[in-house]
Amino acid sequence: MSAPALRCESLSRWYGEVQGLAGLTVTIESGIIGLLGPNGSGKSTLMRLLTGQIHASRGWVEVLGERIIPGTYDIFRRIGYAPGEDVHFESERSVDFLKLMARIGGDSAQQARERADKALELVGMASKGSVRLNAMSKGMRQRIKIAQALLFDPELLLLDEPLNGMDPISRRKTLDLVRDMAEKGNTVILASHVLHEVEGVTDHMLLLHHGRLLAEGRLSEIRELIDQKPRRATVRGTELSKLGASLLADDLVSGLEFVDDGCIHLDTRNLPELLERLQIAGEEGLIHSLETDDQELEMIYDMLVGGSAR
Amino acid sequence: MNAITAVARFSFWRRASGLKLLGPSLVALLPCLMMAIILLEEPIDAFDLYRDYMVPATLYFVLPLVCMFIMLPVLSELYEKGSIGYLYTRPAPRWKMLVGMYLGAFAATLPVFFIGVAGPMLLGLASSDSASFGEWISLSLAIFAILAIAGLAYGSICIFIGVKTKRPIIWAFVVLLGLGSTMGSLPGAGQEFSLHYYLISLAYKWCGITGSKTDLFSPLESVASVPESLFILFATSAAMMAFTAVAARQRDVL
Amino acid sequence: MAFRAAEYERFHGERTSRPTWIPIATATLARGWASKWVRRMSFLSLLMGFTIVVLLYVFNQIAPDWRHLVETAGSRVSEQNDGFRIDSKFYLHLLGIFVNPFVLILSLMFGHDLIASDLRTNAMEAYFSRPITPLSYLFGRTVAFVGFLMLATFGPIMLIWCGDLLFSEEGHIDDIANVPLGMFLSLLLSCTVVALMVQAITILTRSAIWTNLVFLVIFVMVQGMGAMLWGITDNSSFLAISYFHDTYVACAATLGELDGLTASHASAPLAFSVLIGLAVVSFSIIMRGLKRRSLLA
Repeated sequence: MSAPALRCESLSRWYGEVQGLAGLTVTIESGIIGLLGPNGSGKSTLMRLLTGQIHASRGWVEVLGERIIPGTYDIFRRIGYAPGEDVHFESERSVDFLKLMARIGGDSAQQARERADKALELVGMASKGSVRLNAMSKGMRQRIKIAQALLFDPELLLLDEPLNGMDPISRRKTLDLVRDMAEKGNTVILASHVLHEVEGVTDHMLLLHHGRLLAEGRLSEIRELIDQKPRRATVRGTELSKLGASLLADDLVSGLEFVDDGCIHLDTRNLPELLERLQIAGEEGLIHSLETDDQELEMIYDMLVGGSAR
Repeated sequence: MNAITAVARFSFWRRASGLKLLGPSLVALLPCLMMAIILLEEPIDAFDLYRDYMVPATLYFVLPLVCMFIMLPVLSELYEKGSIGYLYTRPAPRWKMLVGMYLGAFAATLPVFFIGVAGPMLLGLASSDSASFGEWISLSLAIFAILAIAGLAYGSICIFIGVKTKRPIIWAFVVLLGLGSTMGSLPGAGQEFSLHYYLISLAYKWCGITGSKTDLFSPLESVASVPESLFILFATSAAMMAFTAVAARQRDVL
Repeated sequence: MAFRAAEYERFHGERTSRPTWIPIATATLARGWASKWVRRMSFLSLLMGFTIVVLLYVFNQIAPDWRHLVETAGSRVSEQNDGFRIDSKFYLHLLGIFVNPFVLILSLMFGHDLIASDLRTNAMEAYFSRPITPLSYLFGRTVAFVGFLMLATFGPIMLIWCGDLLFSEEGHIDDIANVPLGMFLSLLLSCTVVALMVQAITILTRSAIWTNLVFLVIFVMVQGMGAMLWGITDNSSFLAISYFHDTYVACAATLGELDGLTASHASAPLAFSVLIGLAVVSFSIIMRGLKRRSLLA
């Protein structure tokens, strides 16, 4: 049985008095995992701990069965890492930068060239090999970052905010690449705050906030976990006060809020039954529109965090 | 070896491409400029002037400043920008990265030292007929060799400072110019604790300098032997690189 | 619907009468003071000045006529020396304690980043999309840095002067009355030259670390070169290539002590010319660099 992609126990890191990550305990077997959180939630701190760039204040982390501490290096033959920082090897051509990264990994000049060309092809930058990094746009440099992470066909790909600065087409291609990696049996941990795009590739999430793990698992599982919080339906129509009163009397709603004469918020712990009742009201012509907060990640995040995730 | 040579090549071109060596080269040529000014003012033999005045000035000022220009930013820049993370997340031990950076940057100092030595030699040959071509070549080669060996030692100190501290310039100034050049030039027991003393000793032995003409080069009561000087300088280089490897492991990439 | 291109445009709105360099200066002062090493260096220089004041007090308490004793002993040691008098010439010696080290250290610690951080973060575009001219920007930055340099150089000298005046006999004021104004003017010129030079180097190198390195070459190596050239050729004009020597001569001139200097020195016109020349050249470099970035040229 192969080791899990990631295992950490009580993993913590403080920057002076600021808590970067606090007591993270999680096991990730495989697949695509979205590492989500707003700025300052600890995503990059976790990425740096996973790659041995910083010391843990407490706890430990294992990647692909190997304990990671600063100085560990053999594991990087199996891990590809695209950091959040920009590529500052300005004067290098992109192909030379990739060749350098490959040669550091032990390749001969010929092998390095082949790997570099293949990586550029994978990220759709085959024609840009001779362009210097400082002449590229931020989105293009992001793709080069991903290319250098893919050089050694890694089993585990760590991507820290890979979609920053990319145009919509590049984003789509990058996410397609992530799906392809997962289909080949590799694991991808994708750190991002672009929630709806991460949702497009996976429903397995790690949600971080202020360095703590808010929730972990599939979206549906997370949603069940927070079912004690009522769901909200927003109804627009006529005779809403009569509708609201009858729903209250029947104990179908735990709360209601009149936004204005034609709009009402209904909070319920029994959304399916509420929707049935509203359907009847809709057939009577009383309801003009109905919106529910479905399993949107942003809604879940908002509910967990208790504020705007933006 | 692939990792070391690849990083060394990268490091060399990073420091030597474009006009990056122009600044250090101008610094290296300042003694040559001084020679030219003095030769215009005074009827002094160019060979004696270079050997007895410019060589000490080169060891005192040019050497540490050129090393600071070229070797200090090698790692400190990468740490500052966070780009060092790209190197540390390769399947190669960190020490190979550091050695490669060090060797590549050291290689970039050699053309600068060559310019700093060739300039005065050409000026001296044009203006002096007291020394033969062979004497000039011999003196210039000796100085170049001392600068190259010193570049290894001073360069390793610069690399260590670049990894260990967040204020590399100030530390390099204190260590290389303060504890180095200044302490090595002041008479007393403290001289032997400075690398500069061993450079002076090599200059005495290899350049034929017999006494002190300026305050930059105090006469030594005892001069270290060539083997001892070489051992100290090479051992310092090795030790500082070992300390650098330890420091690189301890320092977080933030 | 056509999109309006997002560009930085010249500000056409109403402007206040408040000088625009003031917020730049206060922000720079705050940034400098936030650095614990800048605070430490500033306090260190003031502490050194205060220590000398305490020593003056202690000497005064132990032997109220200690000044006469020292003067007499000095004249016995050297016939050429008119003795060790604490007059305006004494304050020239303080330059070696306060100007040489602290100007260098503060420039290495803080001066290099005056403009470098703005260049690095592309903040110039944000600055010059406001109603601020390159001259105001430069003036604000320079005033703040000169403030720090004056605090570390002029501050302790004035502390010592006050102590000297307090713990001296009547009539001593005649010997040192010209010190405050003379020192202030010469140090103001000197500190302004340094502030402008550091910023000019930054404009050229665009990097904090290179600024510091070039600064070291100018202030350490060139100073040594000047001393060497003078030592070999015996031409004291070569000393003028050293900033610290020019500062010394400028201070001596403003204190009226130039003729009393026994050591070789460059002439006052040469020293002033070098300082003013450096300031003018640095100013031109900075303004040219800023105007290119200000989009207002």
